[in-house]
Amino acid sequence: MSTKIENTMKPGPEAIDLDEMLLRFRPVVGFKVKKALGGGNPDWEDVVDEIMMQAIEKIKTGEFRGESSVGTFIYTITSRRIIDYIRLKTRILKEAPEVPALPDPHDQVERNERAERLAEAIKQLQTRFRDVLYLYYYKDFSREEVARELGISPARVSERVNYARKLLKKMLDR
Amino acid sequence: MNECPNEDRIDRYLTGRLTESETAELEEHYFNCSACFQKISERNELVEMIRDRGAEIFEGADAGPIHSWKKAPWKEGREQSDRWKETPSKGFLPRVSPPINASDNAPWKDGRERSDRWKETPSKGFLPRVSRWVTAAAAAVLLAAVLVLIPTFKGRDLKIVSTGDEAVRGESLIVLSPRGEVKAAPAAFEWKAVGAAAEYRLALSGPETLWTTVTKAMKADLPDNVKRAMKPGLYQWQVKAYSAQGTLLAASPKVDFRIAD
Repeated sequence: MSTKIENTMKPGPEAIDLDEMLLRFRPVVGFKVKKALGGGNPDWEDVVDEIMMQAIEKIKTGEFRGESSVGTFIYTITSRRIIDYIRLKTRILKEAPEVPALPDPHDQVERNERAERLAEAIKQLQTRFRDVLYLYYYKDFSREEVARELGISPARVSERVNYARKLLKKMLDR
Repeated sequence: MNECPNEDRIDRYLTGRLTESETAELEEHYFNCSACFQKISERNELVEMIRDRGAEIFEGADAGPIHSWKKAPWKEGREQSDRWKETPSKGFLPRVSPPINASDNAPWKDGRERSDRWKETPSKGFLPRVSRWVTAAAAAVLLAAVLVLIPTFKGRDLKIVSTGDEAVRGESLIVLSPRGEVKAAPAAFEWKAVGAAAEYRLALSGPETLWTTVTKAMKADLPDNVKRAMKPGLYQWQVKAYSAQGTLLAASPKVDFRIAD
């Protein structure tokens, strides 16, 4: 049984399926929040929960009526919540230094395994692919700067980066 | 919903090189586009890992060579190629000779027995084990080159900025876009704000002055009539930051960009 809320402002009965919304947007919100707060920050999951709850609340009370897309609606809530969090955190930290919490060990192990395989795969790539990954993603060269450094066109740089990623994906999917 | 971002834009997002407004635009987009979100979150895993462990992956002991000129001589059997000479030198770094092979006899040490003890000292990561004289000489050459070339180094934090017609004391202004190759006349010009600036003055030329504007923002929209008149070719623009009193605070270099055919 899914929870549907009537969206009365749009022509025709277009309902927002809350369960589907949660399912679809939780990962996206999680991604942005984690990026904004830093993966090591233990609060990020709570912040995501709050955002989802706020979204549901606004839909239920009719505050959101579909004037924008659902994605934009949730993005707006997410941005605001992140700003509030950072503001609050900054204020708290000014008053009392915080002891950093230890990251979830289970998460770490899983991520490390995949990261390890990725790292090994990169080491096995041919020089020309390793070069672009090194300069573009690690050394923060722009596309044009990489092109100049390696003596190839910027378009070729992009091609190589794209191809390197495809190769890595293939190597990992094996 | 705005357009799906291209690969380069996604990469710049993940490496933190987009402006605030570009970032917001892209983020709002992937909140609405699950295909892009999928792409971006997958790529993020790779980018984050590279940025975390890049030193170990690319510069560690078991990392492969980066460019031909960094071939390590102690890896037996590998030929010392001359291809490194063809790679463009990295800005101000001179092309120093490739590491001397460990088995070479140093001619200046005629009569002295070559001790092999120096091989026992741990090699410094990817730096080849060369005699300390060669390292010292190389360091001296590098230092001299850097000192000589500092005035020409197009640094971002240079304290004295030459803008062609005037030398200005102050920080140089970082321009964000457009630069390099663009597909069409840009919609706007963007640069990094200078804290104390009350206003910015921008000039576009190609090569004669096409358009100037003054703004308080870090962005200036290109008016339609100018945009329409811009054919494919090479253009230049420059933006200068001024204080409330009208003194020049910072200036960008004259940035080239080319509108492709």
